[in-house]
Amino acid sequence: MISARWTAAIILGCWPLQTLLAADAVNGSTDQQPLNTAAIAMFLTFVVITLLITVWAANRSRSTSDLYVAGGGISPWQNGTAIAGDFISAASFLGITSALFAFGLDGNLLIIGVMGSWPIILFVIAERLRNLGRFTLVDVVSFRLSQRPVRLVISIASLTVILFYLIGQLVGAGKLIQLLFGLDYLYAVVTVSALMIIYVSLGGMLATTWVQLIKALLLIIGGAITCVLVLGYFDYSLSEIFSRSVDNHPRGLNLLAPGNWMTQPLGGLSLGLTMLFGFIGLPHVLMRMFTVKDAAAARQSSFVAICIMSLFYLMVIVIGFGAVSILMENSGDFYDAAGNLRGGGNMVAVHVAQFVGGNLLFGFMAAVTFATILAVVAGLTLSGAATIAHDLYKTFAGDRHSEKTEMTIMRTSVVIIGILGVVLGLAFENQNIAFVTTFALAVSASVNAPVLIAAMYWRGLTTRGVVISSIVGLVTSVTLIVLGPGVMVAILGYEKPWFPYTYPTIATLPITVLCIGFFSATDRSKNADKERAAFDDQRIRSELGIGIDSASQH
Amino acid sequence: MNNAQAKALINSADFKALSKKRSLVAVGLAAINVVVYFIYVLGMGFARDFMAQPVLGGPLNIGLLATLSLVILAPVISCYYIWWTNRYYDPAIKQLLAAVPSQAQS
Repeated sequence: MISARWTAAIILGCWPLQTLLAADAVNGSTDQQPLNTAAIAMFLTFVVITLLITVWAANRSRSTSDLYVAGGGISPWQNGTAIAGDFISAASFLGITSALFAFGLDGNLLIIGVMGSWPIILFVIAERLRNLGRFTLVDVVSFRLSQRPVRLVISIASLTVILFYLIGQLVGAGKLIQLLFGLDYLYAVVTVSALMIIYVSLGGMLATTWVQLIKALLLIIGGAITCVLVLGYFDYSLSEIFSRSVDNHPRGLNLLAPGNWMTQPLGGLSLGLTMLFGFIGLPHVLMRMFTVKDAAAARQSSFVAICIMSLFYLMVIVIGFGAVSILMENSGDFYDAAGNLRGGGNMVAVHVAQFVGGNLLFGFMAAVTFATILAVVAGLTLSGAATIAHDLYKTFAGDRHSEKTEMTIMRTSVVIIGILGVVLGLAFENQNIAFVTTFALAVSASVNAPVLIAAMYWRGLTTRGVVISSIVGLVTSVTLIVLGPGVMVAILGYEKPWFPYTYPTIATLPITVLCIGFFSATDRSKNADKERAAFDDQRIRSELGIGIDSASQH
Repeated sequence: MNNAQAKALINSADFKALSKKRSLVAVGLAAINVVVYFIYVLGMGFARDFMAQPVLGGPLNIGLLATLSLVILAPVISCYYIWWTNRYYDPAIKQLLAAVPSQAQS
């Protein structure tokens, strides 16, 4: 019996982990659950409250600045909680607990990726970013460079990250909601998109932040209750959790040794690079730095976020390892007739919640999961729409630009992204979408992050360097993912991939960095000299923060 | 402050010293963080026996202990940075800015 369970856990647990960001629940058995009334009631309460907030926020969204960054009026506490909310998503809670359940120690790599990248954002990114930009990370990269080409390429990179991340979220959302609520896949995806369009187009960043904030608090409360109850099951002894997980798991003592998931050492390193830099370059997260009043507030936001995430992941570790004993010692109906975890490999945390807290906690966690997806999707869409309206329309419209049109374009973009999300969500319903989120994170790590860091810290950077390296980074990322195991083996059915690792960053990041360096350093144009000289003015802004509100350079 | 004043300030010895100190702290902490991170990631890939070594008579092992330490390290070094910038950097930069004769804001 146990070995059947174990195989099921590995097979079902395996691919969601590779996606890391998405709430992609399941492949295999997505048998629809009966309508879960407690969960639906709690979710509807959340929807009503957030819609009321949206109405309130809509009255305060009168300018582009209100829509994109809530006029810079979010407090560091609120912002930090919302940032943490972008990370402690359904993926963290469901994906990582499942990873710990199936692979033990290796599952922790996902946690350390987030905890490793955030201090970097705090120390070297947050404050300069806030000082140099107004609405998007494209503002910062293009600060002293030629506006049109730089905005175009970085917008394409950002939109790629956002769109692929969004597809992953929506497909995962559809399946999760189908499982947890007993709602049809189509209705689930349409509900998420429709609510997101309302939040973002009417309430802008103010509503988006509040939705994320409330959800983050609910998830922390739900996680904390589950964590305490799990600890109670083990008489509040941490070593009891680990020793019993070793006793119960078919991997035995091997559960706590590395290598169960990341079998290739260099593959693990590539994952490490992807996470460290990928999390730094996420457009929808960086955008939150502009919602606070100044660099000091951006710094405080990051700190609040780091503290919340640290606490949350400690709870996830307890729940994940606790799940091993709880789900293997007890013969509840966690498994279907074939010995597979009911609802798929990502349902570990949900089953644990149900076991320790009954239907009420189960319903609560299900409702929070739905809310989580909604909140993350709203943030993504907002940053996508801001990129289209602010970085593309405003830059290319020239004199024809007006604030009113820009707001209309932003709102229209939200609707279009929402509809596109539904269409792509349906198109990808039965696809293995693991590569989709891999791709989002790889582009973020291979293009956004290195270009952003170079723009802020390296005098020698020129327009040519940014344009060529971004295109090269994008193209190599696509190519290596397609030639890697995620597409060539998993989707196209080849026996061996041409590129050995799922995550391409171990190759693509060095290539981008070399291109940035080489094509900037060899740029002898007059324009390039001007751009290098403009670094001094940029330093005044980035280090003194002078004129951050008035002087938008474009 | 106009642009010329800002330029003068940013090229002043006081500002340069302060800026250098700030880089030392920020980049130094970031470097510590990156090094620890990659030791962990590489250890999980290349030093598997070491990571699996039991601590305190097991089942706790070095890998688990490293994981817990890193999750706790992030807020700890971040806290140090926040404390340093609030206590030293922000007041110092405020003082430098205040020393510039005031004019219409640029």
